[in-house]
Amino acid sequence: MSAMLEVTDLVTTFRTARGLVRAVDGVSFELDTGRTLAIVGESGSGKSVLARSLMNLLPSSADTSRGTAVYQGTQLRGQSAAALRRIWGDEISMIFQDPMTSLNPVVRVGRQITESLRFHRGQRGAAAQERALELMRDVGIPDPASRLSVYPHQLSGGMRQRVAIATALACEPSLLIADEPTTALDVTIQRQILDLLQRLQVEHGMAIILITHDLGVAAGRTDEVAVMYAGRIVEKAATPVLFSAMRHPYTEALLASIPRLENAVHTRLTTIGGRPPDLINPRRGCAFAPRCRYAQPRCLEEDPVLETATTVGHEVACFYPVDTEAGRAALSANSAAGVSAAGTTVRAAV
Amino acid sequence: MTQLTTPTPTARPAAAPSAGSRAAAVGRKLRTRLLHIVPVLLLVTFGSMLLVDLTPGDPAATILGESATPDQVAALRQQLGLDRPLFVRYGEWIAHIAQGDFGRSIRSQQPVLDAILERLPVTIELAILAQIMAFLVVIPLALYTAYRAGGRADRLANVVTSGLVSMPPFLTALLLVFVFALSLRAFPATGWVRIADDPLGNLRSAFLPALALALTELAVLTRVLRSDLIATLQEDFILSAKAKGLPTWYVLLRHALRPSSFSLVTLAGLSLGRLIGGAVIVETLFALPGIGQLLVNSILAKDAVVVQGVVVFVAIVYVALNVLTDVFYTILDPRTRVTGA
Ligand SMILES: Nc1ncnc2c1ncn2[C@@H]1O[C@H](COP(=O)(O)OP(=O)(O)O)[C@@H](O)[C@H]1O
Ligand SMILES: [Mg+2]
Repeated sequence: MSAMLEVTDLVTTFRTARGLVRAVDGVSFELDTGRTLAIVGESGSGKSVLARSLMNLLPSSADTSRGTAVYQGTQLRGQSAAALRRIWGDEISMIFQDPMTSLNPVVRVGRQITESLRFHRGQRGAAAQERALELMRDVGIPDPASRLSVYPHQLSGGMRQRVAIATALACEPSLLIADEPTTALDVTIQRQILDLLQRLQVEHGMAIILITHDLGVAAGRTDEVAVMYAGRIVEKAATPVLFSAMRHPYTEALLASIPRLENAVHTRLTTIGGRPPDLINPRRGCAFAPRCRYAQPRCLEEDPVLETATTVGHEVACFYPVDTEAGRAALSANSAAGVSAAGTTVRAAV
Repeated sequence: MTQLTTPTPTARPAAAPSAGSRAAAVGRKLRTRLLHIVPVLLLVTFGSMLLVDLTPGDPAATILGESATPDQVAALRQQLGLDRPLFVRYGEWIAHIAQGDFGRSIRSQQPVLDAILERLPVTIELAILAQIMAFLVVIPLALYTAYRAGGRADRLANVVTSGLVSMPPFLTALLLVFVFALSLRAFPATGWVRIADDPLGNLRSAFLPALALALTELAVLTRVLRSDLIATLQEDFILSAKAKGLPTWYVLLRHALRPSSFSLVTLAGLSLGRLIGGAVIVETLFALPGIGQLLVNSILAKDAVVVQGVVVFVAIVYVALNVLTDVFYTILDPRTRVTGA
């Protein structure tokens, strides 16, 4: 039997004044019912565009002609707007990063929760309201009856995100795409929201794609992790495998930069040296090479493809994977020279 | 006592603002506005009196006609009180206004308030009709062109509305008269049928002048609403509304229109004030017995009492509409609602 969601060689580009932006550049993965996939990467690596590409919810400036995303046998790309609307919010739902901007400031909370019921289920009035109360209780909003008629600005950030989650769950979707659902929240609230998502997933049996820039969020809560860099998946593995035996130098750098719980909110990943790559004029070779401690001459010439690493189901796109013979040799050569093939300074020990 | 003019949006726990607190906020606003209006009124009425006084020609001489002797003119001047200094006349006028007495026309002796109220229905009907016509076009047109920004319809609408904006209203009015009244003979070119006499005839006589007013109006409003809508359509909450699978019409009407309407409401409020203050050009062109015509006629007759009466009236209408616009803001955006200070 095929997976619930099958993504194959998905490409999304934007025509801009500066040139063609390759935001998603050949992504493939599968997701089964009830499973959780984390998509991790720095900001600008194409996670949000990937999420929107999966739903086919993109501005008209996007070129979506290459690659396929098949949801339960339905090809999402090339689907008519009307057919997509039947899927959006009913089969596949989305939550966004900042609940202040993703909830309409001039529409009452109750209505925002019940809207999709009205159009997907024909439920309105008392029945819809009853369902809204149930959903609000489900996502842990205290005293839901009095909160039906408030506006988003009257709620705290965590409560707003709970409203957004209730909204997304209204029609019992089988896939929930959560695009950095906790990035805009306080650390303690982050934990509550993640726990809530985990509980809801078990209770409702839905699949979740959890997008985050924080590998720590993925740890322990997801079945599989895909690490994204410059619009591509550079490493993918079952979560425990990834954390015990990461192979891509970028993943290693991400893990080293996990913000500790006591750190301030909105911590940016500043510990990876260098800047994210230019998606408009991609250079030859591996996109991460300029920032990579392992980079060798080959990395500047050839583009590594995603291949099975040491374990089955663990894939990595790197010529010199971490903790392999080739990788160790590359790193020690670079440490000895003090510089990588791309000219990046490499300190001896980390 | 504290005056709250600008609402301060604060994060408050639950509990929607009550109707009582909203009424209190409106009351506060009205009081502040009234305090502002008094000096403005003094300045404007004194200025208009001065202007009427400074223009060449003597009302008494105009009333009596060419054949009057200087003695007769002097007698009438005395009778009308025109021989007294400007300041004295102004002071008396103010004193009367304070008691609600707008005075009488120095020409017809008709009470000024009566003259205004007699003409008000015409002007109000015209203003409201023009506004309705404008909105009937503005909302769908702006929604469509914003949704399909850069498309063919958008570019066409852009050309047409910039043309309309740059066309002076009298020209628009004359063109309408030429096409609809003179060529097609679909509507009367001038004159007014009272609604009590013939409702259908009334609408026919109001149609062209209202359309002339609406055309300029709708061009400005469409452009403003379109650009605000385009900005709103970039918002995350629009994306999340789409992601719920809501139909496009619903996303546009329910999620995009309201947060995009602030400039629209402001402009519409101002222009309604302007229209009720008398659509001078259009009322003159179409010979409609409205406030605008009253103003023009009394200026020509150097009837300062009527001119000032109209000025005061217009100012009051402006304040009232301003307050209404503010009330409308609080309806449009719940974040601007303030509970008691
Ligand atoms: N509508 C768009 N037009 C042009 N470029 C876009 C558009 N949306 C996103 N991008 C570009 O795509 C890249 C990936 O963006 P995004 O998916 O938002 O990153 P992430 O979510 O990982 O932070 C960025 O370089 C961004 O500038
Ligand atoms: Mg993003």
